Amino acid sequence: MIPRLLAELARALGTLLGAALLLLVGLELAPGSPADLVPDPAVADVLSAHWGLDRPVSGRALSWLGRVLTGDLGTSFAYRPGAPVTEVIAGPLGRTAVLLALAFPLLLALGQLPRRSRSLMVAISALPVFLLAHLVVSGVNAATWEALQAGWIARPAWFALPSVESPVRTGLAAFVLALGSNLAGDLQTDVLRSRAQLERSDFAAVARVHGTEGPGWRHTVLLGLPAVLGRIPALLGGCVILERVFLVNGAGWVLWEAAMARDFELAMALALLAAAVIASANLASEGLRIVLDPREREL
Amino acid sequence: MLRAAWARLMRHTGRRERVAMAVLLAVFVVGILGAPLVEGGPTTLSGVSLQAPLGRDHLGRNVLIRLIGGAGAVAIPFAWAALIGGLGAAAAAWSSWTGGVVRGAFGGLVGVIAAIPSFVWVLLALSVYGRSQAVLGVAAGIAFLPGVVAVLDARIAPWRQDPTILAELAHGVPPRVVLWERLVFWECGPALVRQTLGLFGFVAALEATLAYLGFTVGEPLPSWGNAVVFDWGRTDLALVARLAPAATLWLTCWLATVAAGDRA
Repeated sequence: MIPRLLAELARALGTLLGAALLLLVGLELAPGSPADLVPDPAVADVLSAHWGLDRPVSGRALSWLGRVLTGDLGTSFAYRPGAPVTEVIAGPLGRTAVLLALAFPLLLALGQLPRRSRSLMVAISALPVFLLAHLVVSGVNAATWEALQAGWIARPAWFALPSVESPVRTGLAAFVLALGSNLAGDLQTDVLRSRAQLERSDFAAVARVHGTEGPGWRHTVLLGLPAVLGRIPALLGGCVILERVFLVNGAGWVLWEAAMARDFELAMALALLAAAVIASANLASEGLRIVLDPREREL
Repeated sequence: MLRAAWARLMRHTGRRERVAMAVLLAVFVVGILGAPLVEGGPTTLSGVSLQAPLGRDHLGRNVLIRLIGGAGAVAIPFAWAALIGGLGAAAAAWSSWTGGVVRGAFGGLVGVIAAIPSFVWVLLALSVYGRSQAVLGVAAGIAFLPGVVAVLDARIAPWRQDPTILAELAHGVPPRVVLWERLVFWECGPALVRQTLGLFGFVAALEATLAYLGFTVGEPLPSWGNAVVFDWGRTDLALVARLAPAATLWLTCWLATVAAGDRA
């Protein structure tokens, strides 16, 4: 078991390194240079030297990787000019983590819904996440407005979405994140398929003969958790969209702003962090499978 | 051979999937050919008439024509994405067939692509290389690749040691015929068609999302995402005009999900 876990760890680290290199290569192939955006040539030369743009690509890549490994993610030069990236993203990362932490159990629960709800789940979760968010915000606002007009409720503190920061806004964003982008429908399909395979297996038949009734908590975790962890990339992508729609100043919001302002150092740092989260999630998913599934332990 | 391939595809698809395929194909064709054929084009202002069955938008433009124009905003990036997806699928098929180090290296590269969320890929690509439909399509094709590679690898790799394939090779059938005709065309054909339709839904959702958030297509150019922003909350518009863009987008994405073979 330990060698397999170590192999998975090595694969995760390799993937992370590959992602860093791919991002660097993609940036190097881009037309122009960040210094071209500076109108004064003298200042552009100084900034080029400061950013290391006058050095060869390999030197810049090694330097960037070295800095990243020591926790220095660089400096923002457009979103918050001159501020260290770590400082810029510290607060937003926390808000995104809250969103993900709320969406994660919701997604796990939605994935366990019975087969008869599948068509409805597929139809709802096929909505692009921005459209689902738009519908939810419009619907909640309209319903609250009608209730206010009828005198049924007093004006809630969170009205009108999404302009006011509140737990309702965060909760709705997490709900949409779990349900949208085909995540819940896709996950439910996976869980149903795995459960059907499990129920058809020989050892399930033996367990039934011995009086075991249906899948226990371990089977639910075994089927659901790795599947949810495998959907972390879609959850992170959904965060970028939802933080724009719900006006949450999280890491996705900062990434969007960095992309709009062409603040590549900040954008690359966030993309690399996303890759680190995904590599860790894949590692955790495989680790869980190896630890929880007796068939895997025997390999 | 094409007739036999078509028969095989029909055998491997249910009625619901066939309807989904037909509708998505119609959306693509209308997107490519529709807008230039409609008199005036999608930015023309005109009065209320029977020519506008879905009503008029906030600037008095024909919603149906705007939707056709929006299909064009999806169809062009999709064509690019399909090209990239096709090249990636060919590379994936070859690496799965070759096996060994080649398969491992290609799998590693695809793993690296999958390690960054697809929406982040597309956002970074548009930011670095410019906000064009070609960049959107190429980035979407690359972001969609890991799923296509997984599907192809799961189908082709087990056949490498299959007795029937080994017998064909032993009887002198060239390996390229075995790979491209027997395995890619016959074994993976229906799955590739489903993946292509899934890609269409993926590109439609991406394009609408980016337009909704103001990153790509902006007014006066038509996009389904733009139409949702501007028309959904307008109580002075006809209900059908307010709902049509969102309904079109949802229907396209749902059909793509169904056609891509959502089977539990």
